[in-house]
Amino acid sequence: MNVIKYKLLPQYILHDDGTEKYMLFDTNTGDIYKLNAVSYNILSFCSGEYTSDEIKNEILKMFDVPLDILSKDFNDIITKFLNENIIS
Amino acid sequence: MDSYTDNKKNEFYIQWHFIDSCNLRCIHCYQNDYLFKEPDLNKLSLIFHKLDDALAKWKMGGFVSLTGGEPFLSPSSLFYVAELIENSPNFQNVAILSNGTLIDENIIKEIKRFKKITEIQISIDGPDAQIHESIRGKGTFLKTVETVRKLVSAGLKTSIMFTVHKKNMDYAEDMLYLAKELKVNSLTIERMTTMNEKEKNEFFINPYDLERVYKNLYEKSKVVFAESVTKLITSRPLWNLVDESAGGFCPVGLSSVCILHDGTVLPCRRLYLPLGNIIEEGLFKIWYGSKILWDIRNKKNPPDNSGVHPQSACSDINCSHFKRCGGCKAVSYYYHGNIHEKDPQCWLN
Ligand code: SF4
Ligand code: SF4
Repeated sequence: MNVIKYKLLPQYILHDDGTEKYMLFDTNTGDIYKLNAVSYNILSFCSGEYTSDEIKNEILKMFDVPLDILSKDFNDIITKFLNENIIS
Repeated sequence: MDSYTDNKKNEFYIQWHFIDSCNLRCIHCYQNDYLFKEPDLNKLSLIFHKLDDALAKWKMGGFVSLTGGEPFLSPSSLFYVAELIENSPNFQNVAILSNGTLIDENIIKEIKRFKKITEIQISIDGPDAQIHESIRGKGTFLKTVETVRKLVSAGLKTSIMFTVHKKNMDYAEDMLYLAKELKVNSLTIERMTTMNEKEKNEFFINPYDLERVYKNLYEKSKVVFAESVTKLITSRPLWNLVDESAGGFCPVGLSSVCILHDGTVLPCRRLYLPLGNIIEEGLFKIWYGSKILWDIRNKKNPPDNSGVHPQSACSDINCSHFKRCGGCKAVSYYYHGNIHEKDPQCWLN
């Protein structure tokens, strides 16, 4: 059971423009990150309310992907965002 | 560079109303408060640095129109801002938009010190004292015209800005002759944005009258301005209906922004939808976080069944002019209560 809860730092804004272009904006520096759909959805759940397992369950409902692959991708994505100080 | 600020010329346009006060009381003005208040230089500096940071990040050249109120009511503040801009590699050009009643030889000398002040735009609302002063107040016409002559003879690029509405539309053509006589570089015709029922009744030009006015102006300008230095500026929405190579898509939300003296950010001065405060929030937070701006940028949502356009009505009807026009969002907003509705002055059926 993984109970860690992640939170997007307040200077970041997530945006989905409705055309499958997913963006993350850093409002302090003006940096722009292009995201894929999985990363975007993971970050959308990084509100401090959901545990890692809950986020993974939500992502599994949205994408047709086996749990082991998602778990690996999830860990990679979360590590990257933690390293870049995008989530805490 | 991201897709929400990119434009072919890589220019970002800022209309900066750095002063709130004005010495005139024009009948069609957007200002509410006329009490003289000296601008707060500290605030102006903060605003400048936020803009400068954003331009540097976006690698875009800033084009600023400094205006008010009346910018020459506080020359020290105006030149303070101009100095900041002059010394920044991120700003390219400055235009100053003025009512032309407070510019003397000393001011002109000072303007000429700045390489980046490349244009002075003077508002003239009629071709003679009677029409102009019925809108801008007694004693303003000759003063303004005199200023234009001085600016032109000082070798400064000078433009006349004519805000057309129901009360002066019949004199629009005569503005061509005035502009030619004054040897200005250009004459820009702006439509007045009527912001409430009272203004609509008094000033709103219906589409068919506007068609007549625009077409006349365009055709006559070819004759009047032939072999003259003066050009008619036709880069705003709806001119494309007169000539397909004219007109221009509204830059709001894509490559322009309006800043008021206190740092309030608007999509455009004619679209009074405050987006935030640049001093408190910076431009990035507003530019990337404002729901209003995303709504303005949105051209792709499918129409719903309610009859309300969630995207541009112009693209819903597949208007062939859409890429060059899209209508004026401010005029649509105040007329229909929805920026996405068709420009109510568009005469296309
Ligand atoms: S329908 Fe819209 S895009 Fe077409 S000309 Fe009219 S305002 Fe412009
Ligand atoms: S809203 Fe109208 S006035 Fe403002 S930038 Fe767009 S076209 Fe121009």
